[in-house]
Amino acid sequence: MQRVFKLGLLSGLMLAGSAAHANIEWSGFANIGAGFTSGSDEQAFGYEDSVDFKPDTLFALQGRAELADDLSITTQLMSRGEDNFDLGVEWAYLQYQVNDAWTVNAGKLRLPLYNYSDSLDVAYSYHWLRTPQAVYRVPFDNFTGASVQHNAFLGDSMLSTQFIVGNFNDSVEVADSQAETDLENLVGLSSSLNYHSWTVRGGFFYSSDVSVELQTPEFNGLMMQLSGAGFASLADDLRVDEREGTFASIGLNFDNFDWVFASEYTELEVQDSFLAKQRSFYASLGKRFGSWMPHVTYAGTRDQQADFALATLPAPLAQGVQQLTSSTTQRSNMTSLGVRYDVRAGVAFKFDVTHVDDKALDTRSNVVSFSVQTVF
Amino acid sequence: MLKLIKVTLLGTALAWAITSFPAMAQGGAVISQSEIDSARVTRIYMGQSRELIAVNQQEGSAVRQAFEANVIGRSAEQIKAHWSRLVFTGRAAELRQVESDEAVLEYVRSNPGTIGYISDASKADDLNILLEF
Repeated sequence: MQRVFKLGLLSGLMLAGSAAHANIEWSGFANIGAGFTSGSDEQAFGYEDSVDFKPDTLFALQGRAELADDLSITTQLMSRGEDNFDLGVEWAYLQYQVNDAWTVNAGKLRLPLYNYSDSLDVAYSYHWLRTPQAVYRVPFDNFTGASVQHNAFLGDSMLSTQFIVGNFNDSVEVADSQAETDLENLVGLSSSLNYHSWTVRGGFFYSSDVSVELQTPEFNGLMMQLSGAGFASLADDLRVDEREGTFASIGLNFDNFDWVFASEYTELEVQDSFLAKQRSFYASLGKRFGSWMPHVTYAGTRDQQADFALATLPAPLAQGVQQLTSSTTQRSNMTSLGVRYDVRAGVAFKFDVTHVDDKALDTRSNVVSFSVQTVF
Repeated sequence: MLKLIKVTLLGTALAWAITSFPAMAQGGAVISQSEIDSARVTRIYMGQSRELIAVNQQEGSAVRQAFEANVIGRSAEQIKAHWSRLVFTGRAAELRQVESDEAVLEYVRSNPGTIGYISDASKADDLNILLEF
């Protein structure tokens, strides 16, 4: 898949280069963050108790070539600290502006699951140091396919709607290990209505075939033991193999340039598998005082563990299944206090302290982080 | 805790390091060959509508600050944050930027379907003044 994107990028730039009047506009953004947890046995958001720069640091360069008034190619190259600064193609797409209201994009695109999905990496564009991790936890951001965007003005309000169709295939982190993940026939709709200071948003996504190939020794061992003990059908039920998956989100935002309020609630469900039904929420409130903006955010996860009839199972096997299903079940509360300081247009400094109360693991941790975030 | 304080101090010092606040202008005008409702000017400059092609003045110039404060009603930082969300998500392309009132006038005069703003309304001559600020 990676090769296809590289090829697409290459041919895109060649196409741009050969077009007579194509100028490539360059722009970019960078987040340089650092953080640590307050205790030696604490881990959260990729941080431990020694200062680390990787989890919230990234550099991105975007090139946009206009092939015609209504046709352009955009690629975004990104180097993330959490991926050891390996350079990758984050987005690469062809955009056709049909008219003032309709826009079509095709290529490698951002999956608009959340309100801030599109601008997730451009942390300068929002008030947090990072989006609330209780909610923003689907382990992949992009898909390959097409999106159709429509904007309509109705009196004083603006209705913006996006349809997407495509698929996803890559290795992602599931239950603390890498798993080859596949989403086929992925379709979705996201719509937001803006009226003066208020924006209400909703999204719904569906994939007919979600597959997650977890290949840890524990998982493979459990599957073999179950089959060997005559519970092959239970083993099959646990596997995430071509299952239906749905994701739904709603959100309410308010911004009158004095006060800012943001909230979202999301649900993710993969039918009949060891994966928990994920439910997450956050609410955030901030107030601007000139260049300063202090804010507070409360977020949480309320997952529902996958339920299987284990009564007839030998105890060690029942325990194994129980461990597997609970490993994907998160129950936590996160409280953040943060401040954004606008150094000047294009440069913001942010500071954040988040207290994580993990009820599933019965651990508590504090994460302190600060970041300089820019667009250029 | 000591580490927290050190890191906070370091970061705050960094944040304070660079700041500047130029003064405001008076007597500006939004100009175009077309006639549109003044409420739509904001939509165009916020990248929500493409009904007219907008031209912008230099970032940090007095006329741009006055336009953004009085017409759009937001600070330069807020507008930058808003636009970064559009540009890096493919929702809009960065507005054309020119260096002076004269360059704006020349661009708007020679291109129908465009819109611009200048610091001195009296220079508008034959063009429509959609708004004064």
